[in-house]
Amino acid sequence: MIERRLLLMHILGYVALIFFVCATQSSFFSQIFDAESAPNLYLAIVVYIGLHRSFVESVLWIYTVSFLISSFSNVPIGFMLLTQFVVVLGVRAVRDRIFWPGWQYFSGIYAASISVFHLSFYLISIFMEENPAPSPYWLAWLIQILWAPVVGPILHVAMQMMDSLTNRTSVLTELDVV
Amino acid sequence: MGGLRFDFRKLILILFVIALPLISINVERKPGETPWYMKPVVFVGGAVQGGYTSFSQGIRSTVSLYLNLIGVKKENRELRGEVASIRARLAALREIQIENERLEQLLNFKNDSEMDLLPARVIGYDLTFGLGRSTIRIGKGRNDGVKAGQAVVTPAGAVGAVLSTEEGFSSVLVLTDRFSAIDSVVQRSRARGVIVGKRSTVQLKYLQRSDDVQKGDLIVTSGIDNIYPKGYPLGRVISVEKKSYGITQKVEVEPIIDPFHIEEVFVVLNTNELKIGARSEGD
Repeated sequence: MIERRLLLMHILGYVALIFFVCATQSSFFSQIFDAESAPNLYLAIVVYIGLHRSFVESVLWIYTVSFLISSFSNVPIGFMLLTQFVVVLGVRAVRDRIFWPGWQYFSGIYAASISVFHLSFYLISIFMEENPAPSPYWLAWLIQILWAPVVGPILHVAMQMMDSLTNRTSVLTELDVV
Repeated sequence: MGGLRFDFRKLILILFVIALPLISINVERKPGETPWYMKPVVFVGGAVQGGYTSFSQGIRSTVSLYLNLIGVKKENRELRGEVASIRARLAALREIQIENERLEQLLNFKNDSEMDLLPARVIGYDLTFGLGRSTIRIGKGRNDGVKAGQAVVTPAGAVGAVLSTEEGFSSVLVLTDRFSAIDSVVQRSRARGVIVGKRSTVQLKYLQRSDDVQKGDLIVTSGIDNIYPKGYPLGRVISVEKKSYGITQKVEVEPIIDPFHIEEVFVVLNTNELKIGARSEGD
């Protein structure tokens, strides 16, 4: 019973976090600075999930994240799903080869994931859209990478706190981090 | 004989000493004049007095500076705090002033315009603005009479069209989105084309090779797409490129509005009525 309650709390906590970061990215940053200067916050959650959850759970979360962020974007859900799959697969491929716990690693892999996200977005647009993106969005790409060392550690700490509060352990705990 | 011997020199000296104060008392000193023999003395005295006064004042000010140092520091701290507070209030007031000017401009525009305009505040940008879809979210929706396809404008120029509506908010496709297409004309030559989004700029497409278009020309809405009111500014031509082959020309246009900095907009609620008016005028 307690486990179920914790699981529910865990899911609700992450849903709330996704809403919070999406609202921060789309409203707060655009009001304070402009839409071009906002960090890619929701991608940090995708990266964290890709790092610390099993593959099946990651896939389920990708569906959830794509569904939730569709309320903040007019990009088709399928498009979002594809880009996030690419990011998670990339994150897991790196994690299986090199990993150490801590926010430094997370921030690094988050910054790298931003590049994967932008590149995959552009390529998917070329192959799947009738009116594809004219070029990668270099400026936003660069700004989001610059934001990564600033927002990455904060979100990493927040998600770790949420995991520990809901008694959630990373799949890596059972693998090679011990 | 010896008793009558006087020392006259001593006697004269004593008499002189006694008589001198009596003589000096009786000497009249004219007011406002310093006798010649007093001048050096007065000069030296004045100089000494002046020097001493400066010296004593220096000491007094130094001592008082040290004595008041603690008080001055405290006062300085308080003043600094006060200045910071005033500066913050000033910045807030400046922001309010700018907002007031902007809102006043919007109000004047609304009053002067024939269009039925619904003011709305921009509440958010698409998560993939510029990359995926360049849409903005405005704080007015179905409950306020907003419908998909209605034009969204600012006093400066067209912003885009309503893409979808919810109860209390709507999404607006900004003209710089690559899926946005607006029927338009070159204001000067009336050459027709279609404005298509290109992230931060737009392009005037399907313009015939022989059409007259120059750098600096204003591009306005044609009004025949049933969305935008006729003659509304869209952007200015920044470059014209004619290739040696092909039947069209490449025209780059800088939009009038800055798609990344939109704060307040108007939804045009009666475009269709305006359109009918424009058509009947033309006919």
